Order: sequence, then structure tokens, then C-alpha cells
Amino acid sequence: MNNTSEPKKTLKDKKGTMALVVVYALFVAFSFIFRFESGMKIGENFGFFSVDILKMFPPAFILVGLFMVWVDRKTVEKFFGEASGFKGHLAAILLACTTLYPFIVVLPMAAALAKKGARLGTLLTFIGATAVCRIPMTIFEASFLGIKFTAVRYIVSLPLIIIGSIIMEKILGKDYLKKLTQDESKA
Amino acid sequence: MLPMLLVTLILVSVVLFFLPDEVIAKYLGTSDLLIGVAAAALIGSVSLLPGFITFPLSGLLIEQGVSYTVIGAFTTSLMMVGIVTFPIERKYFGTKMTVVRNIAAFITALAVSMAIGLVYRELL
Repeated sequence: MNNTSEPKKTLKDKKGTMALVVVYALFVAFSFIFRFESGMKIGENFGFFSVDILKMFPPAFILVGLFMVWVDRKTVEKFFGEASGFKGHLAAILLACTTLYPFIVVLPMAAALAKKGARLGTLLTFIGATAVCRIPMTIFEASFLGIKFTAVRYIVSLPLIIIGSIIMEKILGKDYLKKLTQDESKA
Repeated sequence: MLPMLLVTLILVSVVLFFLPDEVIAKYLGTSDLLIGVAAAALIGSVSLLPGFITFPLSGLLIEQGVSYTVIGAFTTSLMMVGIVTFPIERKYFGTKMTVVRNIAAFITALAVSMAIGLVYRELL
């Protein structure tokens, strides 16, 4: 039913994205030519963040690739799948703590987990927990804001993330991820 | 994926232009705790700062007298809520999950901020 409308929409999306990128690139280029300071600053911001994020992608994608090849679907299902229950959330938090990367790079990792059979709730806990308890980030945070601050944040946010994930799983429906991959393969 | 990454980087570069450190400091430093928390949660939601900027900046703001409650809202929403990464997240997990997850993350950030306020005796 959606088959006819989907491709059109993505094509329109693509055109919009292209237009935005071209307009932005022209704006920054002209800013540098005419020494328009605000535009130059925006261009500098872009360069700064591109470098910052791009250097995280290669190792992250290698990890995702190795994960897809080496890790058995059964292992993922055991720890993060339908039958994992509450322990699945704890496993997701433990895995999240060892993550080194920011959100943008966590997304493909989470997608890989989903493909290997993680259920929606544990996946949401994983995504939420990577934002809260990445260990390297935590050490950095505690050194600037104090251990007490970090401790309170952990104690309050982790249970809330688990509760939130359970509620979200109810709202979105357990089959949400399945439907998503089905829609993808159709398109 | 790549076009969405470009869009995100473009959004970040523009948002950061309008929200440099001085502006963030100004809005977070208001004497009204409620406005401070609201501003912190909103700025945190629309920005994407790496940790090596966020925490030194937050430490500096604390030294300047900004409350822990406000900083809690700022750092937590910064890490959990992603408005500029919305296009990428949607690509991976669909619009519905992206919207629901970000709303839940925003509520969590406010709850963390309140808890920090209570522990540091800035609230009540």
C-alpha cells in the first residue's frame, strides 16, 4: 500500500537535503571570499565538528563490522533478546558503560544490535545508557563537577532509563523493530 | 547516512554560532532557578557539544556561581536529547521511536536536574 508513496517521498527528501547542502556550501564559500565573519565562524564550526566526528567513524564501523561477522545471533538474543527479561536491561547498561563513542556513532552500533535480535526495550536502555554512563566521559565529568554530582546523576538516571525503556516498549509495541526492518527491505 | 550526517553537521555549526559559550553562560547564570533550568534543558537539547567542551565549560560555570541544578539539566539533556541528530536517528529507527525517545530523554534530564537540586540543597 505504501510502496508507491514511499520512493517518491524519499526522492523529495533527497532533493531537499541536496538543496540545503548546496546553499550552505555556497554561503560558507562566499563568506570566506568576502570575509563575512559570521559565515566564516559557521564554516569553522562545521570543519571543527566534521574532523571530530569523522575520526570516530572508522574504528566504530570496524567494530560494528566485526560484531556483525563474529557475534552469534544466539548470543545477542540470550543477553538482549525477548527472553532476557530485566537482566537484558542490566546487560545493556554494562555494554553501554564500555562504549567510547558519542551518540552519532552509537546509533549504527544500536542498529547492529537490533539486527542481531536485541529487543526494543533493551535497545532503548542501551541507547539511553550510552549517553549517561560511558566510563571515559564519566571520569572526565567527575574531575570537573565532582564525584557527588556524577554519583547522583548515575543513581537517578539509570533507573529512569530502564523504566522509560519499558514504557516506550509498551507505547511503540514489541514488533516496532520488526516492522521497521520490513519497511526497509520493501523500499 | 552520509547526507543525514552532513545535515546534522550543518545544523550543529549554525546552532553553535548562535549559542557560543558566552551566550550559554548568560542564560544559565540567571538568578531565577526555574528559568535557568528551562534554558539549560532547551539549550542542551538543541546543541551537540563533545564532552571535552561540555565539562570544562560546566566546571567554569559552577565556579561563576551557576547552580548544580541548572548544570545537571544542561549536561544531561546535552547527552541524552538530540534535536540536531534527529535526521540520523530517524534514518535508523524511524520517526516514531525518535520522537518518543527524545521526549523520554528530556523528562529524564529534568528529573536528574531536580534530584541534583535536592541533593545539593538548592531546591526546597
